[in-house]
Amino acid sequence: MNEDLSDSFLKQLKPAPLPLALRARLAHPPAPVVENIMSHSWRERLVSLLSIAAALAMGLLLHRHAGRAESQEAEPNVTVRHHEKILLQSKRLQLFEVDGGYWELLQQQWKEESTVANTHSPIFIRSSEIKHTLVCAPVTFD
Amino acid sequence: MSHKTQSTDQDPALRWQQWIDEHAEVCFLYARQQTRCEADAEDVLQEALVETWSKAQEEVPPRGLVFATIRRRAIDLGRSMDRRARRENEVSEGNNWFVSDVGASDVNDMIQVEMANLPDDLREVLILRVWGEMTFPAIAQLLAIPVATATSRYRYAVERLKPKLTELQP
Repeated sequence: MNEDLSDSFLKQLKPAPLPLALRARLAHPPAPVVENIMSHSWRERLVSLLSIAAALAMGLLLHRHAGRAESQEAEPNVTVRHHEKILLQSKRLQLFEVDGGYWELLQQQWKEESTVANTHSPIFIRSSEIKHTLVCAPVTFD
Repeated sequence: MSHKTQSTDQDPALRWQQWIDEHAEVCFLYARQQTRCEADAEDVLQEALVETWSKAQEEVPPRGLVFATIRRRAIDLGRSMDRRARRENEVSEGNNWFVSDVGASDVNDMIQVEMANLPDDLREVLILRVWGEMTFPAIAQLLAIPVATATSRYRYAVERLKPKLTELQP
């Protein structure tokens, strides 16, 4: 038996009919294509809108969270009751002349004292700090 | 490949029914080869027919497109490793693939069993060629294989079936 004969012999076999249940499922054509396209695009649009909404919500949450963190930093829960800066010492390190004028380099020692109060409880915090600064100032001869 | 239902003036329901009558059985035969069980084949076929019909709009979808859609959907559904074993079980359980026109009632059963024993790729080409009436270039395009491979698979399939066919030939 050659290939053509085999082919024609096989073709005598007809595919079995569809099961009745499947034939019943295929009894009616699908909804018109226009409706399908519309519903499809509607679904796609809904999905994209939901994605955008989710992204916006996430962005808003992050923004709020960041804003809250910033506001917490910007609004400390203490108030400064007293702050004082006292010059303890001023020591000339160098004197130099620039364009006919005299300048001196000073090393100054400051004491900074402050008192802060907690806004939520009757707690006062006193702090004292010694600071050293270098200052360049013109020399005036009175 | 012949498409008798080309008129776009008919009632859509009537065109659909004619299309189903002419093509669904062959497509179901192909779907059975691509899926794990009868239920999967029915689902895949229905989805593929609806999808291709909807996409084709006013035209009757070509059979090749339906085969391609069945194949894709079957892959999506996931073909398990024991597909062949299940199919062979179903063959023995009496899910007939064919209606015999050659008189002997057991001929189709014997050929069905022989076909079930063919490797998947050979059987697929055989079905597309003999019952799907597709050309080898079309089969090659559908399966993404060279035309020569499609041709040789068909020849191998026929070679494998030839002893049984010779035996059955009156």
